Amino acid sequence: MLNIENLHASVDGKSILKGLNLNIKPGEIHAIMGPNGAGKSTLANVLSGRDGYEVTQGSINFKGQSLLDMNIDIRAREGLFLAFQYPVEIPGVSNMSFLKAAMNAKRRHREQTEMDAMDFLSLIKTKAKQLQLNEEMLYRAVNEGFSGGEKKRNEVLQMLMLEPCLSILDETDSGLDIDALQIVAQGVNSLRANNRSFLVITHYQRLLNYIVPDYVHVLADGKIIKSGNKELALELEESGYVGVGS
Amino acid sequence: MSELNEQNLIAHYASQHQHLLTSAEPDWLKFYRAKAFETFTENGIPTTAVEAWKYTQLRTWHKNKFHQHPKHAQLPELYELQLFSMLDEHCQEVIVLDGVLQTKISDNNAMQIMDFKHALKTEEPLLQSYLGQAVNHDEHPFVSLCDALAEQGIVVIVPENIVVDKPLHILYVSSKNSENCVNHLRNLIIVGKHSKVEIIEHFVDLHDVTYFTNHVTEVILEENASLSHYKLEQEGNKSFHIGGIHVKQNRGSDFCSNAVTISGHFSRHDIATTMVEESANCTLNGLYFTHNQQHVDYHTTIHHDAPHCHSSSVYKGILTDKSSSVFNGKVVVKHGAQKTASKQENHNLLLSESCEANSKPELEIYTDDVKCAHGATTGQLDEEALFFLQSRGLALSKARRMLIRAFANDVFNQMPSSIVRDYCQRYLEMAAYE
Ligand SMILES: Nc1ncnc2c1ncn2[C@@H]1O[C@H](COP(=O)(O)OP(=O)(O)O)[C@@H](O)[C@H]1O
Ligand SMILES: [Mg+2]
Repeated sequence: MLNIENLHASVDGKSILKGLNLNIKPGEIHAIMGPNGAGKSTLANVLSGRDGYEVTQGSINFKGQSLLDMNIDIRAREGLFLAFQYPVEIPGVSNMSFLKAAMNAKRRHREQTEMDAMDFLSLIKTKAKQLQLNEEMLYRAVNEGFSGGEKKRNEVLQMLMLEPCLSILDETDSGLDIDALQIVAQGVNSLRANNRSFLVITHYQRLLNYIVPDYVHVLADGKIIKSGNKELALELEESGYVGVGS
Repeated sequence: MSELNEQNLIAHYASQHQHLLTSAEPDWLKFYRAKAFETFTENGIPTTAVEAWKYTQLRTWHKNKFHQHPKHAQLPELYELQLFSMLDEHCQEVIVLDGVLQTKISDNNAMQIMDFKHALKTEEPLLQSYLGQAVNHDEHPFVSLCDALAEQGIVVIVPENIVVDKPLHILYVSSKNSENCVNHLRNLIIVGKHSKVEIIEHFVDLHDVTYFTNHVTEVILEENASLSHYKLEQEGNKSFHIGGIHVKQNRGSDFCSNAVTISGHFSRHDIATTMVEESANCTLNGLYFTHNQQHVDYHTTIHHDAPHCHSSSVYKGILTDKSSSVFNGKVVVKHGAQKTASKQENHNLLLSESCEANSKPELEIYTDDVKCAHGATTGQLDEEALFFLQSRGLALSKARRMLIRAFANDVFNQMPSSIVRDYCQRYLEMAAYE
């Protein structure tokens, strides 16, 4: 699904990722943990194609193609999805209409017919209900006036609608109370399939009780310094990042 | 501009004015015209040294010597106008072709619509008492010029206690015959007590020729009268347009102005209202989209002369290419106008490197106990939002379109008429994303 080799990336001339390797196979869930400023969001941004993140070395292969050669929108249509750590508010653009456009862009890309308006409506309502998002929020402007938790659930709503093959969740759990956390986790789990993969970036082991990873990696100073199974997350919870990998 | 040039131009207009003074018009009107022309010549053609014209150069306008009377024109084929027709079954539509109202009179119980000359015959006392009530010649040189010279125009009279259900669509069409001509249009709209009407003034041209429209629409809103006014500028790449709506609002009246520039070349619009009695309300919405070398200047003036009046104004601009815009919004709260509430905003979206938006909200308050606010922003499309939309699979062009539309919809959503809103949205989309 995703194979990252020796990735070096910099922002504003400052080198952040310094030789990162990661291989995610279809159906797998990988968790990335690490201290603040380690480069976790930088990795997510590089994967999504954000401007200003310059790859200076290395390669990223996504479903057999070079990810770095694709435009931002093409990556998305090919099935890559990033749930943002800080979701953006877009006044005047309704949640519903933008998601519909996004769905149809993806469908056209795959030479599928556009989705019928009624089908779309009933689908989005079902998903919103699943995430306990008020239906009225679908008609509001993207994230405008949403609480922190609502914004995160709105990201997951988009994920459920777009059904990506690779979902990257950047600290989707931070700022969520335990109920909201379970709702989000349940949403993610409902997407699990042997042809879909997940990269879950988190600070806390707590989330991984609900979204159980196949692998856990520790990212520090721009590299993966340690990998293990879900037990590693528990160890980190107890001893912190200090001393890991040394 | 050189002295000689200005003198030339004034002499040119003086001869046109002189001609009117020997016409069969009533004496009071000749007197009114003479005074207007005197004011015009005294003040001269404004230069950028005049505050109200600081960002609008009349230099190119000035190069053209526009002639007064367009050749007699044939009504264009209907299909040519179809394009601009505002879904006529919803509207009552009248056409003003090269300055001349094509439907002689139309009296539909609800209101009277007639041309200025006809009104002089049948409604002279009314004209004599109302004409000039809402305009200020000293502040508006082109109103003076229009009052000195305009023989054409439309008079709309809505009697008391009438709710006019169909909006009136006035389609001003300039044909080839307007080439190098000026159309001075002097309109008067009187809305009687407790009456309500919607009027769309819509300026279009068919053949992309150089011409000059100078119009004044004067409005008197009697007690509790309500007017939703729309002015749509949809003219060609060589058009010159100077025009304004000047309103006097009596007690409890409601004025909602909606100004939209879809296309044009050089234009200056004044929207001025004076709330002379208490509890009046005014809302001014505006949206200008400019491209190529276009220059658009919107000046709004709201006079709070009486207590308990409310005003609110939102103007937004979308600029591309080498175009430029001016927004100057002035609110004046007179001494004694307590409990005034006023807010105004101007936001500009710059879509190119070489466009320029000038923005100046002004507030003059001469009394206590008022609530006034204003704000202005100028910026580009939000990069974060663009990235977000693309990261969900939308192409950059589509993402941009979505954000531009959202920006514009803020103004469109304020428009009471969905017919006009749909029309403007449709054309704006065509203009903005061609
Ligand atoms: N847009 C940016 N501009 C400048 N520095 C940045 C930017 N994004 C990230 N950084 C820097 O890169 C480093 C890694 O940041 P980030 O990837 O956000 O870390 P994490 O998500 O692991 O907390 C930090 O030192 C941060 O200050
Ligand atoms: Mg981060």
